[in-house]
Amino acid sequence: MGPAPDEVILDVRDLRKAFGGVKAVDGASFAVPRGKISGLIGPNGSGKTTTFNLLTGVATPDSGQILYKGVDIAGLRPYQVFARGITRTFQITRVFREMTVLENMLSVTGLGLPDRVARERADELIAFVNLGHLRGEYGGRLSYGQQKLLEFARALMTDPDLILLDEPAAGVNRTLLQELLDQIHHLQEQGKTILIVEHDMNVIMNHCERIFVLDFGVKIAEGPPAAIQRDDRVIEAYFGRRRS
Amino acid sequence: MTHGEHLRNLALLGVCAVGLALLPHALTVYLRSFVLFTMMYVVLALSWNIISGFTGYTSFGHVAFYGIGAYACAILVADYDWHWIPTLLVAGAVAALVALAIGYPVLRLKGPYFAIAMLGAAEGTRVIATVWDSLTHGGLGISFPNVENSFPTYYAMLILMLLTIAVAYVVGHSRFGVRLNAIREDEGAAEALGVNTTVYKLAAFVLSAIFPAAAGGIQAYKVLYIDPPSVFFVQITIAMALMSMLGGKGTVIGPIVGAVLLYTIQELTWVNFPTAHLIAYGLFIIIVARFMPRGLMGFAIDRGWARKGMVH
Amino acid sequence: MALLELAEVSAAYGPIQILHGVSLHVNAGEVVAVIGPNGAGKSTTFKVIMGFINYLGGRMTFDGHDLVGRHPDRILALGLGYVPQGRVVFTQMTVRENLEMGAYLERDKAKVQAAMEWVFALFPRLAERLRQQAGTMSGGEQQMLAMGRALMMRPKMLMLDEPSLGLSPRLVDEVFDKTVELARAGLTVMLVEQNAARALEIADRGYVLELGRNRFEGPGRELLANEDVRRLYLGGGGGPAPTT
Repeated sequence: MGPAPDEVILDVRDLRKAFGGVKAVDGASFAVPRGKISGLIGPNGSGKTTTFNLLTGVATPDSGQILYKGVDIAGLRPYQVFARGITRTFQITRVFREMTVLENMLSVTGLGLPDRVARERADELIAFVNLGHLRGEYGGRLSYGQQKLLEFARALMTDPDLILLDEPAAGVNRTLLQELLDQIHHLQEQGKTILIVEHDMNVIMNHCERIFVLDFGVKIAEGPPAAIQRDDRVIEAYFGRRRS
Repeated sequence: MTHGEHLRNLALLGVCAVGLALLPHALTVYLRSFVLFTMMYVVLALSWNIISGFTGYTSFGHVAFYGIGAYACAILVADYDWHWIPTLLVAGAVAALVALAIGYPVLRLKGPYFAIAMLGAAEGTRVIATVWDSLTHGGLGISFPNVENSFPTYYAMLILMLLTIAVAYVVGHSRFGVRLNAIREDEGAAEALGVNTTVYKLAAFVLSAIFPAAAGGIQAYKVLYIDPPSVFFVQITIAMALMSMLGGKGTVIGPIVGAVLLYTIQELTWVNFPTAHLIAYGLFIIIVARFMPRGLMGFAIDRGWARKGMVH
Repeated sequence: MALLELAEVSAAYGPIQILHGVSLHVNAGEVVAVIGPNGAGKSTTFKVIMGFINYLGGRMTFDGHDLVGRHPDRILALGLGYVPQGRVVFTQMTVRENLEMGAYLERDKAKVQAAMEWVFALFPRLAERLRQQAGTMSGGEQQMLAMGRALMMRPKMLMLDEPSLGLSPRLVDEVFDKTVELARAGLTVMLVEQNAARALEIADRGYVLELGRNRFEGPGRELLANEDVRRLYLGGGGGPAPTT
C-alpha cells in the first residue's frame, strides 16, 4: 500500500531510457512520499544510476514523466531542476577545490538574497556541519569526510524541499556516516523529503521509511524495510537466482 | 572583503590613476609609449583572465578581438572619416557580437579543444582581414592620416585600463565571479547548483572580448598603420596568457602584476638582447610553469601574505 | 598446502581501507567462490593479490611464493591468471592479437602456438573469429576472449572477476558452463561474483565477505542453503541505527 496521493512530492511515471540497444530504464514508476526519508536501491545494472540521472537532469528520458509537486520536470537541465527546489549530492564529492569553503557555499544560485544575508546563511550552514574553522580554506585541502560535509551543507543553501543523496555512505567512515545520518534525520524532522540512492543496505534498512527496489530498469518491489528484506523478488535480485 | 577593504582598494586605484595621469608630462616619447603599452597589456591580461582564469576556458585566440578592434577603428577613421574615440565603442560592440556568435558553438568544447578552436578563430579572422580587401585593404594594410597623438592615446589607454580594472574587480569579488570560478572547477557540479553554465560562459566570453578590442583600436591609432600580420599576431595571445598566469590567473591583482612585470622584462631584454629575447621568454615560461604554476599570487597565498579566495 | 593462501590481508584504495584482515585459501583443483554484498571487497581481494592497490598487511602466498610486493607481471609468471571485471579486451586488436598479448611473457613461440591451439579447443568460437576486431564482438564473446587470453600463460589458477557482469542470463549460463569445463579439466578457479546463487552452484567452497571482513565460509551447497547468507545481502546484519 502506498502513500495517499496528496502526500506524494515526486511522482515518477513509466520512465524509460535506452542507451544504444540497452534498456537501462524500462518503465520505472514510483511515488516518493513527502516529508519522509526514502531509499532507491537495486543491484548493479538495475537502472538505479540512470534513474537518478534522469531525476537530476543529467540525462533526458526517452519517455515517461517526472512530476515534482505536480509539474513535469522530465528533460529539464540540472540547473533548472535545481531552480525548482531539488538539490543533490554526488557519490564522489565534487566540491570546488580551488575555492574556499565559503565560496563553495556562495556559488549556489537562486537565493534571492542580498550578499550579507547570503553570507550569514552560508555561515550558519558551515557551523551546522562543524566546518566553521575551515571557512577560509580551499575546498581541495579538506579531508574527504569534510568535503562530504561541505557538499552536504552546500546542497542546503537554498533550503530545498527535496534532497537527493547519491550514495552518501560511499567511502565514509562510521563516525562521519553517523553524523551525516543524524543531520539527515534532522532535516526530515524539519519537513524536508529525502531520497537516498545507496548500496549500503544497513543505511537503507535502518534509516528509510520507504524503499523502492529496481531491477532490470523497473520497480520490482516497494515498501518498508521489514517487508523488503523478506521480499523474495528482492532477495533474488541481489543474491541471484539458481539456474533454472 | 569588507567594505573598508574595498574602499582601500579604490583609494589605491585612485592614487595610481592620478599618478599615471600626471606621469606622461615628465616622460620622453619613448617612455610614454612604454607606459602606454604596459597599460595595454594590463587590459589584455585582465580580459583574458576573465574567460581563462576565472571561467577556466583557456583561449589561445584572444588576439582575434584585439585585431577586430584595430580594424574597426582603422576602417572607420581612414575610410569613413570618423573621429577615433567613438570608433572604440564600435570596436567593443563588434567584438561583443563576434564573441556572441562564435562563443555559442565554441564554448561547448572542453579544455584543449576550446583552446585550439580559439586559435583557429584567431587565424580565421586574420585570413578574413587579408582576403576581404574591399573592407580591410587586405595585405596593403590601412594607414591613418598623420597626427601627433602621443598624449591623447596615452589618456585613452589609461581610461580603458581603469575601466577594465574596475570591471575585473567587480566580477572577481562578486557572486557572479564565484560562479565563474565554479564553472572552472567543476562545470557539472556548478550546473547542479543552479548555474546556467551556457549563459555564464557566454557572458564571461563577451566581457573578455570588449576591452581587448578597444585596446586594439587605440593601438592602431597610435602606430598609425596596421596590417593583418601585425595585429593578428599570435605572440599577443601568448603574452596575455603568460602575463595572467605569471601573476596568478583567477585573481584580480595577478594579471596586473604579471603584465607590468613581464612587459618590463620583455622590453629590457629586447632592448639589450634583441636576438635572445625570445629565448629568455621561453625560459621564463618554463620557470613559471615548473615552480610557480599558480603564479605570483598563488605563491603569495601559500606564504600567507594574501588571503585565499576572492569573496570573504 | 593450499595453492593460494591469504591470511589477515588488509588493503586500501588510496586513503580508504577496504579489506580488514581477510583470510581465505584455495586448494589445487578446487573452484572457490567469493561472494558478498556491494562494498564487501570482493574485487579488491583480487586486486591486492595482483598487486594493483595499496597493501596494508597480512600474508599472501601462491604456490609457496610470497606475493607481497611483487609486480603484477611477476605474479602472472608464477602461474596465476587473472580475468578482470568488465570484459577487458583490446578493442582495436584482433582475437589473435589479443591472445598473443596474453602470452606476452612467454618467449618460446612454439609454446605460444601450443597455448593458442589449446585455447581454441576450449573456445571454438574464438577460432572462428581469429581475425575479427575484439571491439566488434558481442559481450559474451568478449568475455570468452578475456578468459582465453588469461589462459594463454597456462596458469595453474584462474581468477575470474565478476564474469556474469552485464551479461544476459543465457550468456551467463555459457560462461559458467565454460568455467565448470575448465575446472573439470584440472584448472583451479577462484571467482568473485555478484550473482551469488550461480557462483555457489558451481563452487566446491565459498567465502562470504561483508565490508571487507570474512562472514561465512563453507561448501558451496551449504552456503547456498544458508538463510543468513541471503539475509546479509539485504542488510540483516546490523549497522548504524538512527539515534533520533
